[in-house]
Amino acid sequence: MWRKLSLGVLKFVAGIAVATAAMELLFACIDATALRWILPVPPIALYGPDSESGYRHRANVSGLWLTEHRSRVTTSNLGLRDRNRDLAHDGILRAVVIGDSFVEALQVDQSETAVAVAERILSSERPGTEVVNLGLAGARPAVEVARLQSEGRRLAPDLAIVMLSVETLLSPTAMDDSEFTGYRRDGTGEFRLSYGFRDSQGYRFRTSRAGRLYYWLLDHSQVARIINARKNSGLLAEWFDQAAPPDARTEPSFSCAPALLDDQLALWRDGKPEEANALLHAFIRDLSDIRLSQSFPIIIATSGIEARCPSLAGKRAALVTAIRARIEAAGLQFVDLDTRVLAKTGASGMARLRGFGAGIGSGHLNVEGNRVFGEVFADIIRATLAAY
Amino acid sequence: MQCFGRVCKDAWACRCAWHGAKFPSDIAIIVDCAVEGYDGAGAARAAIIQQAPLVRYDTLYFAFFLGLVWLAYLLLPWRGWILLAASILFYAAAGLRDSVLAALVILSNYAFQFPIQRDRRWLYSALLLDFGCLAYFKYRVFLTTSVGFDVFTHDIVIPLGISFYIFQLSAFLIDIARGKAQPFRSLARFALFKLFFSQLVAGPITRWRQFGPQVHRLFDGKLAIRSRVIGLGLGLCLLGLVKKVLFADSIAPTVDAIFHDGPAGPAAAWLGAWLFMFQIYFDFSGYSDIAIGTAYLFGIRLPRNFATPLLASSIAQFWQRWHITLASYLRDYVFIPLADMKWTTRRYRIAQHFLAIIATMALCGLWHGANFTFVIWGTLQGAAMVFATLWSRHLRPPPAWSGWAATFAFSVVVCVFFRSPNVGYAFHYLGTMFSLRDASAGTAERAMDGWYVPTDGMTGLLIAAGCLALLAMHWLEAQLFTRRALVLISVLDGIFLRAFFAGAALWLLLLPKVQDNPFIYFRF
Repeated sequence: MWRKLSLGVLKFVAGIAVATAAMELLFACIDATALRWILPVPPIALYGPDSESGYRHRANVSGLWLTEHRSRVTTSNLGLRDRNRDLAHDGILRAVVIGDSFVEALQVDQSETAVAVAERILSSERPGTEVVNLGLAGARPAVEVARLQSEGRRLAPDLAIVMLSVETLLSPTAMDDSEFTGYRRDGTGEFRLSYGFRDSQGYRFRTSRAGRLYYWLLDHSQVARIINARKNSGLLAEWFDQAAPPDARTEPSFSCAPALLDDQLALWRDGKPEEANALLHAFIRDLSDIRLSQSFPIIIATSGIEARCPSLAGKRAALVTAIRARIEAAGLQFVDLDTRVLAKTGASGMARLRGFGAGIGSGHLNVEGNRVFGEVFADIIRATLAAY
Repeated sequence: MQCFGRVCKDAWACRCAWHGAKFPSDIAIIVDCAVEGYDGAGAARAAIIQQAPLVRYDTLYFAFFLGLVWLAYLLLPWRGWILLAASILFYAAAGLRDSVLAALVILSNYAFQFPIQRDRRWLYSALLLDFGCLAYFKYRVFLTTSVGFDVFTHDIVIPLGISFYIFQLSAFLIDIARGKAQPFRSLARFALFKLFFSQLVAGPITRWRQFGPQVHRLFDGKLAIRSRVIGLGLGLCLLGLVKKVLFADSIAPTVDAIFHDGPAGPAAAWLGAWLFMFQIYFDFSGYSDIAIGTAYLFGIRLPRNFATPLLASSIAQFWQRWHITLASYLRDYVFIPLADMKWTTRRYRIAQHFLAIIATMALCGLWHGANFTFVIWGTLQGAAMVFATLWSRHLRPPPAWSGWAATFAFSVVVCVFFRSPNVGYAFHYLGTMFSLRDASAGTAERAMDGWYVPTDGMTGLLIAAGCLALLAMHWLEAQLFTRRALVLISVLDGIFLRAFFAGAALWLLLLPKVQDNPFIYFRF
C-alpha cells in the first residue's frame, strides 16, 4: 500500500517536474528567437532594491517589455534606463532628466527614448554632450528628489531636468514610504524624505543573500519569472482586473471640463489643501537644497496641465503664473512642458504621441512622442546652458 | 472639436460621429464616414457591447474552482447535485440580472416541456417566449433601428451565454415535439441540462440525446468517471489553453491594431484578415477543447465542436467542421424545415433549396451578432454554398488542393465582415485588400495613416513564415486527433501523464496576461 502510494506521489512529482522543464524550454526557445515579438514570454525583472529611493533599475539587464508595446529593454552599466557610459565626464557637458515612466520609456527601444533623442540632437551640435536618463516608472516627487540626490552626487551633472506630473502632488500615496521613499512629517511638523521601506520585509529580503539568489534565478529561469510576475500581479488578478473587451475601445479623448484645473490652482495659488501644499513646499525646498549643495541648475518641467482647451486659457495662465512664481522663488527654473509640446505638434497632433496599435491616443509615449519630447528636452537644455 | 462626447477633427467627423451614434443602421452614411476614415458608426457599435464575463476558462480562479468541484465530485456521493450547485455558483458570477433571467428561462422551459409532449401547438408559445427573450436582450436595438425607430438605449449588455442556452433549450423542446427527446421530470436535472458549467457560456450546443441521458445517469449514480479519459480530458484542457494563451491572445494585438487603424496597403490588409481567421479559430476551438476536456473529467462526453475546419476542401465541408453543434442545429431546425416546406412547385424546388441555404446562413450570421456585418458574412457563406452546389452539379469537382485553397481564401476574405465594426469599414478594408496600391513605400507616413507591414525584407519574410506556421500548427493539430494519437494517450494515461498535462496547463495559467482578451464567442 505504502509502496504504491509513494510510487504514485513520485510519478506525480515527476510529471510536474517534466511539465516545468518543458515550459522552461518552450519559453526559452520563444525568448531566443523572433517568436518573442509575438508569443507570450514571462516579463523580465527590471528593478532591484535601492537604499535611497526604494527601487531602481538593475545594471546590465536586458529582456522584453510587454506592457502596451513590446520592446527590447536594456539597462546600462550604471543601472539606469540608459546607454552604457562612464561615471566621469571631464570636460563633457552632462545633463540628467529625472521623471517617471514617461521619461523611462520602456515601450520603445533605448535609442528611441526622448532622452536619447535629446542627446543625439545636442551631441550633433556640441560633440560629446551627454543627456542621461534617470526616468523610473512610478517615481513620485519624493523618489525624484531622492534619486536626484544620490545620482546627482554620482553623475555630477551640469544640469537637471525634473519632470513633474502635477497630479502626483495631490495623490495620497505621495506620503507612503512603505515601499519607496516618501514624504513624512518629522518632529517639527515639516515634511522630510522618509525611508520606511528599509525596515520592510520585502526590502530586507531583496537585499539579503536569498534575495540575490532570487534575482539570479529571475535572470536565468523563465518559470521563475512567471512565478515572480504572478506574485506581483496576484493569484486572482484576472478576477479583479476585468478590462473592457477590445470592441469597447473608442478613440480616447481629453476633457475640457470647466473644473479641470481647479484643484491645481487651489494648490499652487492658494496653498490648499494644506497637506498637499506642505508636500509641495518640501519638494521645492529639497530640490533647491540640492541645487545649492551640488551647484547645478535644476529645471522643473511640469506636465499634466491640459493645454488644448481654449475655454480654460485664462485659468491655465493663472495656474502657470502661480507655478512659475513658487518654483522661481526657490531659485529653480520652470518649464511648461505641455505648452512646449503643443507648440511642436498642434492640438490635433498631441493624441498621436501616445499609445501603440489599437491603443493609439492614450498611454505612454510612442516613438513619435519620444521624438517630440526629445526635441523639447534638447531645446530646454540648449537654452538653459546658453544662459550660463 | 468636442462632438457628442467624442473628440472629432472637424465638422465632417462630427457629422459622422453624430450619425453613427444616432443611426447605426444608416449604411449610406456609414459608408461615407468609413471611406473618409471616421468611425462614427463603429463608436455606435462599440456602445452595444457585451459584458466582459467574469467566468473565463483561461484563468487561475477557474482552475481553482474546477479543482475544488472535481475533488468534491470524487469524494462525495451526490454527484449530480454537486455539478448543479457548481454550475449555479459559476453562473452567479455573471450577476443577478443574468442569473434571474436564466432561472426564469429554466422555469418556463421546464413548465413547457410537458404540454409540448401532449400537444405540439404549445411548442410555438415556448419558442416565441425563448426567441422573444433572445430578441429583446440581444437584438432590440438592431431590430428597431433597422426599421427606423431608435427607442432603446444603445448600452446593451447581453446576458451571458444567452445565444447558446436559448438554442440548446429550443432544440430540446423541438425534439420533444418530434418525439426525439423525453421531458425531464426533475427540475434539478433539467436545470443541470441547461446550466452545466462546462458548456453553459459558449457551447457546445448539446442535444438531449447527447447530454440528457448522461444527466439522468449522473443523478442516478450510474455515471462513473471513466479513468481512461481523465488524461484525455486534461490533455484537451492543455490543448485549449495552448490555442488560447499561446496563439489567439498573441495574435489579438496585431489584429486589433490593423483593424483599428485600418491597413495601409494590401499586404497589411491580407495579414490582418489572415491573422483574424486564425485568432477566432484558436480562440473558439481552444474554448471548446477546454469545455469538452473539463466535461471528460466528470465522466461527461460533450460533442466535438471543431474538426480542423481550415483544412476543409469545400465550403460545405468547412461548415461540417466549424462550430459543428451550431451548424447541425441550423441544419436540423432551420434549413431542413425551410427546404421541405411545400411553398413551391416541384419545378422551383431547387430554388427554394438554395434560398433556404442562404436564409439559414444569414440567420447563422445574425446569431453571431446584432450587426449587418454578421448578416452579410452569413449570407456570403450561404451564397458560397449555393455556388459550390451548382458547381458540383454541373462541373467536374476541382482537385482537393484547389478546393482547399479556394475555401480557405474565401474564409479569410469574408472574415473581414466578421471583424469590422460596420459595413462601410468592411468594404473599405476589402477595397484595400484587393487594391493594387504599393504598400512598400513611405513607411513613416503610412504608419500615421494606417497599420503597415514593415518594409524590412527580413521582417516581411518572418511575417510570411509566421502566417504559414499557423497553418502548419493547424495541420499538426489534426494529427493529434487521429486514432493512433488517441490510442497512444490512452495507453500512456496514468498519474505521470495527468500530472504533466495539469502542470503544463497550470504554467500557462500562471503566465500573467499582458492584454485582456476575453473569449470572442463569450460575446455572442
